[in-house]
Amino acid sequence: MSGGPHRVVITGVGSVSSLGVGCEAFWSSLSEGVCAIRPTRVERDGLEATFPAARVSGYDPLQHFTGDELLLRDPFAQFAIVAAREAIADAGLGPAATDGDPSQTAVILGSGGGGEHAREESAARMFGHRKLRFSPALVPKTNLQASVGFLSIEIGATGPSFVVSTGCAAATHAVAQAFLLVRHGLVTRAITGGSESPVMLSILQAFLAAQVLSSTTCRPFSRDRDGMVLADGAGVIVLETLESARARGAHVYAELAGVGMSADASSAVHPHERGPAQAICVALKDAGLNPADVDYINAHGTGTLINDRVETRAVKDVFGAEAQRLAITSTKSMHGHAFGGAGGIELVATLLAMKHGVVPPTVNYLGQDGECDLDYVPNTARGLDIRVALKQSFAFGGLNAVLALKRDVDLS
Amino acid sequence: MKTPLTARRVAITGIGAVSAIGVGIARFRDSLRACRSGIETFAPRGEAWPEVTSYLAAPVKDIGESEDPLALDRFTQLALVAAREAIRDAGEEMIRERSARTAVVVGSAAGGERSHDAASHRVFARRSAPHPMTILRTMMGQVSSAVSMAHGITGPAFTMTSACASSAHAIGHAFRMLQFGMADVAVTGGAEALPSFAAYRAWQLMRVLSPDGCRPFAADRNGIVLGEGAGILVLEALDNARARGARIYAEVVGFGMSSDAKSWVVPDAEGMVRCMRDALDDAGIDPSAVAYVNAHATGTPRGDAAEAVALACVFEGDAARVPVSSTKALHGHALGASAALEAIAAVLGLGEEWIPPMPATSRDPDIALNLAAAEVEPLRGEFALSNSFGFGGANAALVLRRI
Repeated sequence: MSGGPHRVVITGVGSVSSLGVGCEAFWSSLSEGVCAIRPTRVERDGLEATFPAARVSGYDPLQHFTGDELLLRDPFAQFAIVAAREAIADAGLGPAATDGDPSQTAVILGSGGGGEHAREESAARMFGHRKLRFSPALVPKTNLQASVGFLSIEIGATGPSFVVSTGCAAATHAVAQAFLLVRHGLVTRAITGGSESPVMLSILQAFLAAQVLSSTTCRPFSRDRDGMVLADGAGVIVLETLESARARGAHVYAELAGVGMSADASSAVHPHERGPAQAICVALKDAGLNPADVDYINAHGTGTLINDRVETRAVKDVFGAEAQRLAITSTKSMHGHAFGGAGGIELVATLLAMKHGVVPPTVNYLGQDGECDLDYVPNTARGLDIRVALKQSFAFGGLNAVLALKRDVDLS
Repeated sequence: MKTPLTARRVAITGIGAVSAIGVGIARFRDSLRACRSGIETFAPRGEAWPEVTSYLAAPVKDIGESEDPLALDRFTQLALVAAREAIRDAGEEMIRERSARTAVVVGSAAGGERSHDAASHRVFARRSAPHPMTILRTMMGQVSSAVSMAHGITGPAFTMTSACASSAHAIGHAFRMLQFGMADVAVTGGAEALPSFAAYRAWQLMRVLSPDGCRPFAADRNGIVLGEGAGILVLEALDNARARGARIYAEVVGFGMSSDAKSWVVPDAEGMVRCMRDALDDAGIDPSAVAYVNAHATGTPRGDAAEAVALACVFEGDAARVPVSSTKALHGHALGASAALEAIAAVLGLGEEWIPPMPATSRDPDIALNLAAAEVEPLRGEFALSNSFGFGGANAALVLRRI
């Protein structure tokens, strides 16, 4: 490949979340406004807690992996692989995903924590019981890059592979890097997105200590919102050059027309609207779009008091009077916050919304809260012709990434 | 991969190093030139270290453990020191003026692993709540976030992780971002702290730690010696650098990436070959133009053998000529920081025309490479190749050119 830049399109989607395994279950729940957040009991080594969380529903690891494979694959890697298999099949690429030259496929995923289950299990043995012997499988299991490592081995992709890790925005940052490689002809296609599995005791305790978790449910942008809700899951897409998609006669969900990234460079815990606004502006400019072109924003919308307020301010800063016209939703209200997987899950939600012409709602919405006064499509899905959408992710520490998507792509 | 002609050229205009062989570029350079090793018997302390243990490691001696209860994880602290040096070196003013067009791309393999251990110790041993800073300390993204905050940088910022190749991927990706105009300046490299107890135990169980020293390519090599540190480079569009009359250490001219897609643990010469060829093609040079190779060579029997085979394959008849060294023999294997420290060693050697040395060892008859001597010898030529191959088969190689 050479020349460029190339136009980059999305030809396959896959998801694993608390709303179900696979995009069919995912979309039916999203469009019906189903909330998967439940009181969830987590336990380890005699310690336990029950808290609102969203685990993957209807998932049996043995339906997807052999017992031996599970010895090395922690849930975050399993979810990534299951979602990737769906995306690859959806793109019509067959199990190898490589369609010819395997070095032309990159595997770039996001994750915030990697193999947290294996880490917690060994920590409990080690620190709780002073048992200092454990399996050498701990290294590949906990490793952050296990998701891309095992996936590239499974599909035989020999192009670039790495993990991008920026907490809550990791999957969106990963997609942005994959976009760079495909746009500039360094690879023809990329399997990208992210995954996470943080619903466990030690992570719950760490988030409780940071005082950002909800004790009820996730109500982004709503009055009485009181925090975020931990969730498991993965969202993975297939990105490829428009030429490649055309040549294969592939179905195109949308064009990934631009990306924007920024850092707040202000405070580790208190986000500022300047950084998110900058990322939105860069994404629009990169995509050659004006604020007036945007129909739908899939928000970061974590449900914390400050995050949602800052995100609303950022949208108002960029869109001005247009902000009132936009449909803005946080699907985290339904599937919870899967951190490094969230951007992937929500990107898939956005693509499905564009395909079906339906905006998934922000559920658990109780009414307007002071500064959060935009149209969050409360509680019920709404039909809307979505030609242009943004997917926004703003992480702890002020690391921001925004993707700009255009539905109508001339394939002729 | 051949880069389109529209791509911008990218210069290295600032460097900063924190390592077992010195904090600061001046000391790092002196130790490299003197072939002085930072490897010693190291006894970690702390309540999350439940067994009295000492092991061979390459610790950073001049930066102690922070007592500040609000401090970030050690890997971030090391990165901040190296980033400050590199940014001052390139010019703080230049970065301030371009803050929205400056990227921060840092690699790390394990990130805040020790903060994970500290939190787990509180939860499972003391049965109390973890520290409120736990989330921030254990996040991989903290390192990029902290560098952006310390220097008011507001462009793209993220952390990349691909085990032992993490910082090579970070530098290479930052290079691409500059080539294609996603940023004008990048603060990039990697950082790693010595392992937590859990990670140390895991390394032990994998039987890859050497009990007596890191001897890359030697006949009696028997494993890696873990190190820590941070290497940060400031990359800048060459035109900008020239226009402002900046000191240019070297130009980044090529980057290659590949995945073995074979085995989690067995290194694969084929994947390494593809990656090196990719980087050389990207630079548009023939292998014969390479004047120095900073090898990944960690000192394991299998990894070094595979890299030697890969080098012989890429360089063919030239393999016996091109000088090769692995500076891990001196600064240890600082995992996600290694590639950045090694790229800096290659940049220094290339710019000042000396080959980074390597202690003399027993010769492996199966490895027909021109291994560097223990004394500094002249580097003749304008291109250097720096290899990094991650566990799990993620490979990256950088090609640097003297300007």
